[in-house]
Amino acid sequence: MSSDTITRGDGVVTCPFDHHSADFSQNFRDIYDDVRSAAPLVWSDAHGGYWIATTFEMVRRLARDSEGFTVSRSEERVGGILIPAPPGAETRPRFVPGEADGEEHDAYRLALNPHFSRARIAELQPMIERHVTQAFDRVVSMGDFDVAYDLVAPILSGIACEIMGLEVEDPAPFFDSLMHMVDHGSDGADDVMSDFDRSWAYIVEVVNERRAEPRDDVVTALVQYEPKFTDEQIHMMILNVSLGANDTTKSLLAQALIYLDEHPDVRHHLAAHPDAIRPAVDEFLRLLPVAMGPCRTATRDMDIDGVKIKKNDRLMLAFPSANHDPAKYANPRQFDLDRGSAQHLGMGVGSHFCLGAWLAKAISATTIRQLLTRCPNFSVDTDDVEIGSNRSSLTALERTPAHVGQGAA
Amino acid sequence: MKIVIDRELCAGHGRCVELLPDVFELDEDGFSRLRDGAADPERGALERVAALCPELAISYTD
Repeated sequence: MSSDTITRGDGVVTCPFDHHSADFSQNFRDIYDDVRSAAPLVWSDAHGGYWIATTFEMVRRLARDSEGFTVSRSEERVGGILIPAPPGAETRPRFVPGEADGEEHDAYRLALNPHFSRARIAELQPMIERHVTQAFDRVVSMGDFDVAYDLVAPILSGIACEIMGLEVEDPAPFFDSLMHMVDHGSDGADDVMSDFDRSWAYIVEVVNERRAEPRDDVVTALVQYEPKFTDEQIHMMILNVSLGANDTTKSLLAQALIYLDEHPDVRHHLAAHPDAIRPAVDEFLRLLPVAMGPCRTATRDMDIDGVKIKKNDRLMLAFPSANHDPAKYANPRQFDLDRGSAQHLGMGVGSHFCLGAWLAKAISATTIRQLLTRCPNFSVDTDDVEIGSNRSSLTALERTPAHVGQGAA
Repeated sequence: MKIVIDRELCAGHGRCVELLPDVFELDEDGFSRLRDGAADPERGALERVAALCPELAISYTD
């Protein structure tokens, strides 16, 4: 289906867009092509009404404007990074820096950035390699495996826990519960708070332990950081980083492996040219839909190229639409290593740009390289892939069955 | 004071422009550049901007 856009009397382009619909989940590419060609800013009446930024230039411009558009909830509690706000969003503490603005946000990023810089991640490459090797050892012995759950999740949780200094005995439920606190997957506010209480209790314990006995990890660095953070700020930073470490990279890698299964030419090129794997990760981040569109709230009335945005208007930054804007990327649905896709918005842009971008790219490149060398004949049962039916915030791969193939070692 | 923006590293996040608009501006491609004739910023403010650049693309010498 396509989206029928209508230009209202006041010049605003509207469409029956709903990013929670089954139609969006199945047809978002075509829907985005339609709304993007209609206008850079489109209005939908769904969920109380919101703007959708559709073109590369508009998404980037508004994402950069952290004063004009807040991630926080306003006095009227209409804000937040999802539309509509999910259950529990009003009662749980804020995840920071993701749900903080301005100087407060910057204080968290100043403390966290050095642990995830390009240079720091390069130092951590041997550790990344070790976790990827262990995961492949296990997957090769299994033969049949699920890409997201058996291969990628253990890599991500192992690396995140080692960097942060967490010792989570059973990582999958810990990381999944964090996601359920912020998305629409929970059964309601009570469910969110009980998930939250469990994770919180564990984090409180770790922070107290590191304060008593410092180690070489991020939790210790946050505990010792000057000017001092409150305990709650430290807890919420740890939870936010742990949250960010999980579902996005799982989604990216599962989709990348499906893509390689379906495009033997790309697969053979990368196997023959390992140097091309790292740039290929950036092109995958442009091509494949992971973060579907974080949201903002206008802090004041403004005029954006003639479009009147009012204070407290809600806005969705449609990253997958921006990444397929033909004005920025010719033949956007094509995988093209020569296009220079590094400016893509697959990890956002501006103040809330993904903290773990360099880590996620290093993990993704290492995983694809080991896959191509250790499982040269891997295959994915693409007919049996299941994608989460609600793609409003994330493309979640619920089932990605794969086989290591002949000659795996 | 000499401020250098590494054009290879800059990805156009615009944090420097948002935080120190008298010193930095965006060019037509959306990358950061120094404003012509900009006065030297306060050192602490520049230090903060350099540390907040997501690509660590800004360096400076006195």
